[in-house]
Amino acid sequence: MSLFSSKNGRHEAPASGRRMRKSASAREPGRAAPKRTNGLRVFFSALWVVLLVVLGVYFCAFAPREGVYNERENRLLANAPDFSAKSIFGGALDTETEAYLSDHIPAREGAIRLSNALRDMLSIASYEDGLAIAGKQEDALTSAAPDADILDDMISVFDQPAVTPTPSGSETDTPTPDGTVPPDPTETPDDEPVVETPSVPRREKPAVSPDDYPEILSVYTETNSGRATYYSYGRSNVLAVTSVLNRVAALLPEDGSLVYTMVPQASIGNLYVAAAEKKAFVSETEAVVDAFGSEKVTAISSAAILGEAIKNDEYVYFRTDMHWTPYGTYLVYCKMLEAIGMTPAAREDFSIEIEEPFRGTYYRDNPTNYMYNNPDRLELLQPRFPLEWRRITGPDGQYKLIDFLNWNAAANDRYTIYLGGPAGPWTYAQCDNGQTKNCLVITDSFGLAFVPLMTQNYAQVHYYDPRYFNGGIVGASAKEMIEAYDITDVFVVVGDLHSYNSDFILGQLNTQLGD
Amino acid sequence: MGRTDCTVVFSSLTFAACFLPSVFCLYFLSKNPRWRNGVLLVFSILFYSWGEPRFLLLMLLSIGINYLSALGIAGSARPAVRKLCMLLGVMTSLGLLIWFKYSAFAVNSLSGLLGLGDVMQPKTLPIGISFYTFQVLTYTIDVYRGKCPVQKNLFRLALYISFFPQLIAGPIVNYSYIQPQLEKRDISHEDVYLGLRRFIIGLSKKLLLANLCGEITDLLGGGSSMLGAWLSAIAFTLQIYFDFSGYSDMAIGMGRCFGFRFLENFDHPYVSLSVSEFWRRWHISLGAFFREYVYIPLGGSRVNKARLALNLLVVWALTGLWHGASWNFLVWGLYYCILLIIEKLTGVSEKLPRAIRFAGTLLLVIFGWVIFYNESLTQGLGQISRMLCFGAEHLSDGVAVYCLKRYLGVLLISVAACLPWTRLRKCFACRNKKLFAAAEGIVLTALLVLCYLSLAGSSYNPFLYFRF
Repeated sequence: MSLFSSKNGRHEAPASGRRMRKSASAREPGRAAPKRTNGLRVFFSALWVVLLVVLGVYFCAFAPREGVYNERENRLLANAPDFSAKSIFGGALDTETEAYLSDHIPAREGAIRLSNALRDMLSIASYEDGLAIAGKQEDALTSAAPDADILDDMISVFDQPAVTPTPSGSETDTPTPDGTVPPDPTETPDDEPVVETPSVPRREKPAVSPDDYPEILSVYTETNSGRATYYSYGRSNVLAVTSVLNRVAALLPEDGSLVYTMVPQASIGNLYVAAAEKKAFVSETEAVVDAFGSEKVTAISSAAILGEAIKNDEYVYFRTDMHWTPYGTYLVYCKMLEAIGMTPAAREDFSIEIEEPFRGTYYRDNPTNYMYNNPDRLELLQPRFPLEWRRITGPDGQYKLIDFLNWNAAANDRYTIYLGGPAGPWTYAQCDNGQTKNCLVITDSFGLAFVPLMTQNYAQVHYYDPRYFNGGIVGASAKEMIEAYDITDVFVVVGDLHSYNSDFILGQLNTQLGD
Repeated sequence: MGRTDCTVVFSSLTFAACFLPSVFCLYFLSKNPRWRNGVLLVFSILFYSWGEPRFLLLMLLSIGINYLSALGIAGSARPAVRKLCMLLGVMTSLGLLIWFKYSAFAVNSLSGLLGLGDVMQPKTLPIGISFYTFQVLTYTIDVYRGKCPVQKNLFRLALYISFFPQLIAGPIVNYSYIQPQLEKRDISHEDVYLGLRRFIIGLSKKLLLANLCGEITDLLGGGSSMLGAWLSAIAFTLQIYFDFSGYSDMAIGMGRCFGFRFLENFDHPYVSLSVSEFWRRWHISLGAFFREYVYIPLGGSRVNKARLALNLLVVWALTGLWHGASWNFLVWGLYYCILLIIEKLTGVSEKLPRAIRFAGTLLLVIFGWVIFYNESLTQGLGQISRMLCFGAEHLSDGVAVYCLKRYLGVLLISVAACLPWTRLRKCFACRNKKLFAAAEGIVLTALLVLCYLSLAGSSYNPFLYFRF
């Protein structure tokens, strides 16, 4: 067989190997190896060994034991590993040691910068090319939506013949081109004090059938290069999400409202920003949610709002982070409140703190020089009146105060300055602002900049992220929490990754509402 | 496949900055050969048990049983007793390997045939069990065959099995080859230099090429377009070569520093002109093991054609399964079996022009890696069909274009690094030896610095071949 043929001797003992074997066996025991060394080789051998030894001595004697906040990387560096029986036998010691050593390697920042510069030299990819990859990386973090059979059950209610819901308020509103519903003529004028009316006028919804909408609903842009579709969602998924939102809305009092929006992430928005000619930034999904949502449900298109702002060169998406900017958040906040007849607060009503430079998740995952040289700006909008941020930590409303103004703390991810990040089963702001109603924001990380804005309009602003909800900790289901805290209005603000193709609403939120 | 990512790896800072300098200093401070072996043994055990000490007992059990088996073989003149002792050692070692690596696969395959689904959870695979099991088998079988004397010193045998440079990813070293070196080794400055040089080259292959090629495969998966599928396949082809040959280089280099001479494990496999030549150049020590301990005992090639085909089938099925307890590895092994039989029977590789032989072999190898890389055969065939433009809806996609642009330089350097530059190197070396030595030292130092840059801030990156 040619494979194992030793004709050329390569397989059994390759040419060099045979020579080695010969030299090893031919040597007499105790006889010194041939001295063919020269000074240069000794010098370089010693240099390499010394380099490694110096590195080892540095780690043992001089490297800091405590991990400190690293501005450039936007995270806490690793602490020295814990040499305990648990870490040794549990398998954590090796990963902890490696993380510690790599985080405290001498001249680390310079090394990373040089390493990135060298990689950039070998690359011809542009920043815009990288945005395509950023979206894909985030995709991998989401869990899948339920199976088709479960979705079919959830949307079976929409298979009934189309009916016209009974209007309870004003006449039909036509969505404007920017995807929002125009404010009701009865709403409070902007210059009046923010005192909400107890009863929200309802708009009439036209009779529709699921078949009136395409089977595939997309998020796309129209630019000089034509149409570019970034996400496509099955109509059945969108309808299933609507059915879950209807379940939430059913928990609200008669005058309650639910406003929904899906926020396309920055990797998509920035492609629109980069386009030479901007025609439209469209999400087709909210129209379906709006049409099939119960009379308490309203959906607005963040894509349309942000797209209009982008046309006006407004800074609504971070360059180095997947989220919208606080200003983009504010624009959508205004439209969401207006959609249910409320008056949004002016930006001047907030005290605004600014942190520059800010480099977010895209930079953390792909630290290019472009992003380093073009950092973002963070704004923290705080209400001017006193309030407490309470994170529920036990049954019967037991809570601890959290440091919302965690502005200068060593946050692991700087975006988590908003409410300390998307953690904790349930949190709310108790505001001393003269308001009487309570609201709930159901959200992922996109809502972290959104929630503080609501403190101007509600006495209590609750928020929770279904991924981190734990009924065992708060001693109640999400449904019971909504009822216990007299929630009147619900705002659902989710990023595109947690909208229709993930478990976020269809699985987690749906389950947390109970049977 | 079991989880096998808990150990210190050569390309980690823990190894390069803490472990290696420590063992180096202690080894060269000890002048007595016994002490030197002792240092290596202690550090080898520390190396193996780092992060996952529970599997140390398993390796020690395998060593102990084979030590006693070999003593039994050597201590008896009766063939039946000798055979019994040999079988005891071999069956124990293979039994442990089969239990940890293949039991869940076998049970789940059987239950799948019966329509019961998976009934057994795959076990956590002890690091390097495939490698050290084969090493210990060579010892027991070689003693039984009378090819080498029995090792009465348990610590020397333990050092042979557990020697950290080749413990977890090879090369698989025959006991009869290494036995004289366990007792007496000479180390010159030249050995240390050449060993360190080889280590730096291996480290560079792993950190500067394999890891970056791995980023492409991670991003693309099987690729969703024709470009993506090709790019992913090419990147994995490069990644697995640099990953595995890099590890072998580091192992051979470190062995050389401590006075051991290991056989070569790779010989520029991607310049092969036939599939059989590829396998003479790829993972040489594994091929040698199967030839010596499976193929030849089955009758080798001196049998009729039907038996020859059966022998090849057995060897290649085992080769495939050795890489992992999964159907795609078995199919991958059988894929090579079929190619080799065709090549052998038709002699097609001899008749074609060199350029076509080279391109054809490379294509077949790339297709082989696609089967190997994808977790299921359906996924593998899907990627191949996209590569051949049958199953791809688009010629390219955004992610593939990004990868091509982002990693173009890395891919070009990687392709160049697959080629043998020996003649050019010798040509330069002949002109001015001192200048060449200086240039070589500077280049290697630069590579070491680049590895350092790569390690700065890097996360944990285990080797691909640990899972085998």
